[in-house]
Amino acid sequence: MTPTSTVLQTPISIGAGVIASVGPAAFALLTWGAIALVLAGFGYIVWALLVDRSIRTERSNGR
Amino acid sequence: MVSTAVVLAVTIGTVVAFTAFGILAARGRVRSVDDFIAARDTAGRGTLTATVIASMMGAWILFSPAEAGAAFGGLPAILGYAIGSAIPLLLFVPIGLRIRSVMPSGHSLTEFAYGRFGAGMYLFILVISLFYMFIFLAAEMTGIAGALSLVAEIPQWQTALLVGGFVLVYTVYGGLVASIVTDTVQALVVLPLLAIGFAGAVLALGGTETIHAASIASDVHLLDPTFRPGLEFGIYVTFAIVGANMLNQGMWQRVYAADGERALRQGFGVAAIVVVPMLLVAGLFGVTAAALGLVGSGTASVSFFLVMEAAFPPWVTLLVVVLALLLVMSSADTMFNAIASVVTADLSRLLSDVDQRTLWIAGRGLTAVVGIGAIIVGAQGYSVLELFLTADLLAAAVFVPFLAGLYTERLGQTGAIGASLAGLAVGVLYFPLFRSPLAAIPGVGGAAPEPSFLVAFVGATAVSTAVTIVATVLGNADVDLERLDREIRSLEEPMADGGSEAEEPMADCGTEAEAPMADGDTGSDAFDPTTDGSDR
Repeated sequence: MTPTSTVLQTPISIGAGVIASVGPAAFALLTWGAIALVLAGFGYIVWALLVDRSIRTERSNGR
Repeated sequence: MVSTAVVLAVTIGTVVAFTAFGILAARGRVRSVDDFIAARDTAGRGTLTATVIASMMGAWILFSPAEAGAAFGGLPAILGYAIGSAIPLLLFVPIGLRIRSVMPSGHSLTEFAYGRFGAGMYLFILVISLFYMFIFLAAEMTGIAGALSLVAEIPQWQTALLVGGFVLVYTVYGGLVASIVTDTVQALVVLPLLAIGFAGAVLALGGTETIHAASIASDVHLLDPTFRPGLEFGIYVTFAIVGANMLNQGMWQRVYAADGERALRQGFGVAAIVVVPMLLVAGLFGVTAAALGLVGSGTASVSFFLVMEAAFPPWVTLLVVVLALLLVMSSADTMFNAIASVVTADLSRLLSDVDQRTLWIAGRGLTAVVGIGAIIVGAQGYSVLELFLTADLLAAAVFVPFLAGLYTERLGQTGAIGASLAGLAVGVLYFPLFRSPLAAIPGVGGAAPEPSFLVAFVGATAVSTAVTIVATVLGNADVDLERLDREIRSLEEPMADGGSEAEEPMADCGTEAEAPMADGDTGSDAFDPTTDGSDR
């Protein structure tokens, strides 16, 4: 049996074609990475809204 | 299944809450037709990021990526949706800056088409853009009506009427301002709901190891990044999404709504980054559903709902309903206002002495007409997929010569139309949905090549690009791009509600100051959805 990497399985031969799939570690990275990035996007929007608001407040107070 | 009455109550509560919020947030901020259709320079980077994401990510993300992942493409198909959605947003950074530079007082892509090329290209862009936006809107209405019918057996006409009706109310009242404000809040709810929902589902169903093992056992192609049908789908759906979104008036409006270069760069740039994991998460619902054997015949498109049903108790359905409602409301209000803005901006050009009140009535009236049409279509439950693909093909053939007009003065209308038609000819020849009518044409049917979505979309764009380059090199239209700035006027004359027209604002060192409102409120700088209109 050919040793396989846990990140990317080496190609396995099924029928007429050669098929490769992402390994379990890569799938986990894909899944949790995507979830984390979506939450990071949420965090960025909140931060940017607060920063922009405080800049506008400073400008208003400075007038 | 959660009771129909409860889901209906949650639906009504959600749409009423956002309608009230949209109306209150827009009060005092829509002082001219320009505000209604352009909301010029009002959106900071946070607001712009949120509204771009919300406008693009409609209820379709709960259906299409999951279906692609589960039924016909696996991982590469999902990546096609994700990357295809990010590319136009990235392109809008340089193109948006160019649009604002060439046409700073502009409102719409059709204005640009008319001013840059002429009536022929204008009509081309008008038809394709309106067709695509209306189909998008109809698909959204159909999608949400189908979703609530699936989870709670709510009659489709009731959903279409509720959702479409209430979105229409705040969009007719507050225009683009209301759309952007509500988009911002909707994005802030959608993002965590989507992420936490998927995280919870993965954990409840056994974790990534379990799902991965089940995927491999069920269908080795689900997670195969080299799976050819998935790759082909991923490539052509990328071209379809890019073309369509470059002609999406909702995106052009947001280019003008950005309160400066930094907001535009960061708004569209960050949105491009965020939509990738959003669509990956949405698509992985399909892989999960297929892996766990939840998908039956013809149910791949509702994989998201199947996974949530399998992972969570029935009451979580209510959160799914809220998620779906927010997604559809955010894109529906964008399309309502985008379609109305195209026609309103064109009316002001076609009718040279039109007064502000007429434009107001036209803008709001058109929004209502579009909305009613979308509600009627949404209630019927039509399949709009074929129309969607057709609109995408038209856009794929046209967007390159259209946008080339921003960068070169050598390309004339004949060259642009010629490039568009050449791309369209190739696209139509290979488009599988047109094979039957083509086959009926004597001499053409027998000679037509093997149909292929991939060749149709890639070919349409590639050929129109090649002809655009040739037409530009050989052309000598000698168009003056600076003329667009002079010819396209702002619609900045303020209107007091129910009163007479206020004075026309005076130009001041090249910028237009805003005339004060009848009640003395001098208006605001950039847009802050976290405050109301009164604390300026």
